[in-house]
Amino acid sequence: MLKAKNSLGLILFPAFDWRISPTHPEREERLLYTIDQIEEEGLFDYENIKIFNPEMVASKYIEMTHFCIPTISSIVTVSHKIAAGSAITIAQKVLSKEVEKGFALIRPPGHHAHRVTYGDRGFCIINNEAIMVEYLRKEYKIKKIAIIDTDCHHGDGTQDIFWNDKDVLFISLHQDGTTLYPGTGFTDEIGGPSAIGYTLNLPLPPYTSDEGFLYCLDNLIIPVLEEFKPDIIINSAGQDNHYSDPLTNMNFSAQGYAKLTEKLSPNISVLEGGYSIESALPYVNLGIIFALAGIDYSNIKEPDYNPERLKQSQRTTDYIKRLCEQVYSIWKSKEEREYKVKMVHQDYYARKKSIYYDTMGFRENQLEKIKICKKCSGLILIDSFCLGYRVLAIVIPHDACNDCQNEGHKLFENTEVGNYSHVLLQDKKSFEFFRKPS
Amino acid sequence: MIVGLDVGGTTIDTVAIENGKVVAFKKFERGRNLIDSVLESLNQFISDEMILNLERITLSTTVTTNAIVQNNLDKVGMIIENGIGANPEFLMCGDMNFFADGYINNRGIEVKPVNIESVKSALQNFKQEGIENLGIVGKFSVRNPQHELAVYEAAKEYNFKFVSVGYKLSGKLNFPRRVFSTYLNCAVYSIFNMFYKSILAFSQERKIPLEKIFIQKPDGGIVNLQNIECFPIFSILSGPAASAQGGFVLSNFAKNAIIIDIGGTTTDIAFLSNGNLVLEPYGAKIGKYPTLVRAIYSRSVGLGAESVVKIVDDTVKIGPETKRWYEKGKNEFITFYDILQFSNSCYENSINAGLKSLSSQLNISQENFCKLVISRAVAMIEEKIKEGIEYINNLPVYTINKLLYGEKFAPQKIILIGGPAQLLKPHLENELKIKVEVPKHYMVANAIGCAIGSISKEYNLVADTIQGKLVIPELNIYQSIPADFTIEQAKKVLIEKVLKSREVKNQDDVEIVDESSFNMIRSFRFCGRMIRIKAQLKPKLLNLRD
Ligand SMILES: [Zn+2]
Ligand SMILES: [Zn+2]
Repeated sequence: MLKAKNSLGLILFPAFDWRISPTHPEREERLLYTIDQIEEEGLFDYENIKIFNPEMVASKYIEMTHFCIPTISSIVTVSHKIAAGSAITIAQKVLSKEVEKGFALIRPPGHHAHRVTYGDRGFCIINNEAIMVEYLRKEYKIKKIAIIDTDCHHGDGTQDIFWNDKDVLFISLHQDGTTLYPGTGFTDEIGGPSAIGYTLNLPLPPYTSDEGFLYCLDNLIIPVLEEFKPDIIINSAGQDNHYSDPLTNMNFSAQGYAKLTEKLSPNISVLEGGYSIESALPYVNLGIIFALAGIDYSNIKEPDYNPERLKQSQRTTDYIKRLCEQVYSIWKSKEEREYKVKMVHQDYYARKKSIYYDTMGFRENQLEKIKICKKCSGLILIDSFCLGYRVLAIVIPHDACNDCQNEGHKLFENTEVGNYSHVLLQDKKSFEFFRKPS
Repeated sequence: MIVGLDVGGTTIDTVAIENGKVVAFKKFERGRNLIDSVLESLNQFISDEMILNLERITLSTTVTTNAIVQNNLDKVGMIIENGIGANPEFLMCGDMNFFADGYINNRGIEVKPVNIESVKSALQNFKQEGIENLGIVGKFSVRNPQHELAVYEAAKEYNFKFVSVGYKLSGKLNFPRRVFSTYLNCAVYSIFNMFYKSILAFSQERKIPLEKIFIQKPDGGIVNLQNIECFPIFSILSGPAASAQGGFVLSNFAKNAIIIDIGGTTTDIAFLSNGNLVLEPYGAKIGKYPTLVRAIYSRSVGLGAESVVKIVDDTVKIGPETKRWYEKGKNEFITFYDILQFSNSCYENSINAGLKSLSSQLNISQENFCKLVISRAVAMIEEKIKEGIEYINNLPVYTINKLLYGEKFAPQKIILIGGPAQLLKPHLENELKIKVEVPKHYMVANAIGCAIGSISKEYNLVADTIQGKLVIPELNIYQSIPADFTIEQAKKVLIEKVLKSREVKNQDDVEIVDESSFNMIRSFRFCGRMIRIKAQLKPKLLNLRD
């Protein structure tokens, strides 16, 4: 039998019987050709490539990650629960050392789902990777986690959830927000007062090719990872940077994705977007799988692959070079910046957010306040308005000091339901969730 | 009358069935020359009287399997069109291999034509090196065999003795397995041909028409000897299929069970889930090669009645070494069968000395020694059972419906067949805490399984309305369809074509086991459908009466 260099666990869950609407790009057919390619390639015959069936995520992990409004059951579909469950299943297989690396090829994606979620944004309702992180912390006591988001769209949901969390380094590479949904992910989005510099964004110009992506990897991501020293690296492996993707304007290829995966060497990859289901996904997925398993991928090329035609401009090359320098200096000066922010906002650090739900056509308005605390990353209070609901969401962070924890509980106890439709408390420290009205 | 013959590791078992009843059976010693032994057993067992009302003879042989294991194979040249994907070096299985340029994609669309000129010079080289058998395989050829056929045409002028094209062996996707299956199909050609000719001579001598002689396939199905000439590979590994099928029929068609056949040298374990014998998801593994040859999923343990019991480093070891009773001489040895007999109080004097010596080495009583050996043996079997159950329950599912509502496989009983079945039964029952059934005729269950084998087949239809194409590789059908073709029409076409192939008479015998229809969207617009249907023939096994 064939054997790969690294043992690899795969979850292949195409959800052939689920779709958003009959002509939606996030559709039943999406992983069909990928599975054809994997089958024809004989990948199931490698003795150390294992296929696992996913499990449904337990509600507890959703509650510890999101505030689902009005309730989990009213907005989260079965397929979203299976996608999140898949992320947990694959994490479990990797952490229990059943396999060295894991890749969950699942749909629907999750990286646009914020901490407070009212429904579908960019085909996401709950955040698969963020839920996985809660699981890793609870069950495996993992401390330092790096999430590298290589989807073409900014991973705004993941950024939101780990905004003020130093233990999760979030780096997103994406097509510039001025040219693509969701319109965020600029270099000045660098994290909350207690985690400044632990969110890093690399907005790339349209038509960036393999060269540009790999430059960012070599000159920013890998050096930062070496300094951060994560216990685990997670790749939000969106595949919509591909030159044939219908929703985006980038020039990344299957070879590029494979090289990126090989260099990044994530412990776990989770599929996000990627809608060129016929011309890209079969080859890109195969390239990623081969790279993760340590199999030679040099013969995996799209039938119409032409590196000359995909070459990026000199202007793009120069821009990316400056971009990496700029972002690296943010990383280098993070302590200094944190000190300054905490000097200015001595009590609470507040930001207003307006979040558009593209698939559903409504807007949420939020006021997020983060307590400046000397002993922990600080209590988070979110006041959210949307669809006639008014929500008070309280987050006690996993590293909370006793004062912040007590304050969070007290606030929850003393807030009357009358003013709010929902009063919710996520106590990440003691892994408990409370809601009013109950 | 139906006659079944099964070649096992140590014996050749024969059985005759008439009107659903076993009317005769006999076990023959297996001699050195396999083909001679088979013919001799057949000649002895089949009386002229039997021939008068003979319906068919089914043979389960190991001739081709043996040839592979012993590497007694023909020289083969392989033309492989690898296309995009893994580096193809690992596919080099022939004596000469040529990687052709060209590619067909997963929808059966030609991406790059095959380079026939370079193929021709490779064929020339093959011939110059004295290679007579040719295998031709392309990636995604089951979606569109055009490139394989083009090479096949080009090969005609070189007069190869035997040529095999990959797409005809199976409709399933799996390129490496397609390559290896095609190679093996070519490599066993001569040995199978020898067997074929011997049977032909036998049929002429005994005046049995060739149409009445069948070969058992590793999936439990049977195929007429004449129809298998181009597919000698389908005659491999039929032993486990025969025993699985025998156990299945003798237990009156149980729903969820484990079938264990304990023979002389090995114990084979098969699984019955929801009334069907579980098949290998892609196909059998033959020697070191994974193939697309449809086969019953079975696990094998190197443990049988003739397994020698030894003590190695203070622990009991059973098998895989075997010895026959007549090899007993001045070197005393104990087999697993001896142990079973002793502990079932069929005390035999002859084993006393050997048993005494072994048990004293471990400083325990003979009774305890036997208990130890048996619990070791049961543990060996149990491990394989667990492996099988876990494997079946972890087969990938691709739909929410199956993930949430699909049933888990949980066997209700063990059906135990093979020579020592009665002796092993109480121990399995006690240690595994599961009901164990030893059916009547357990001694020749595999010959019965071989005799009653049914036609078993799978068909994969893929329809792509953007291209206006429909393929059913197993029936060699590649035809046009209209743009508004639907899944209902596809099902109708498939059933029609299967009936037309005359592999079954009745529409009810064709079962649709998987169906899906995907809307294909290009630029946010519906532009066609991808329809996939999998059908199989319902196994129609003969009911045995007591
Ligand atoms: Zn995306
Ligand atoms: Zn605090």
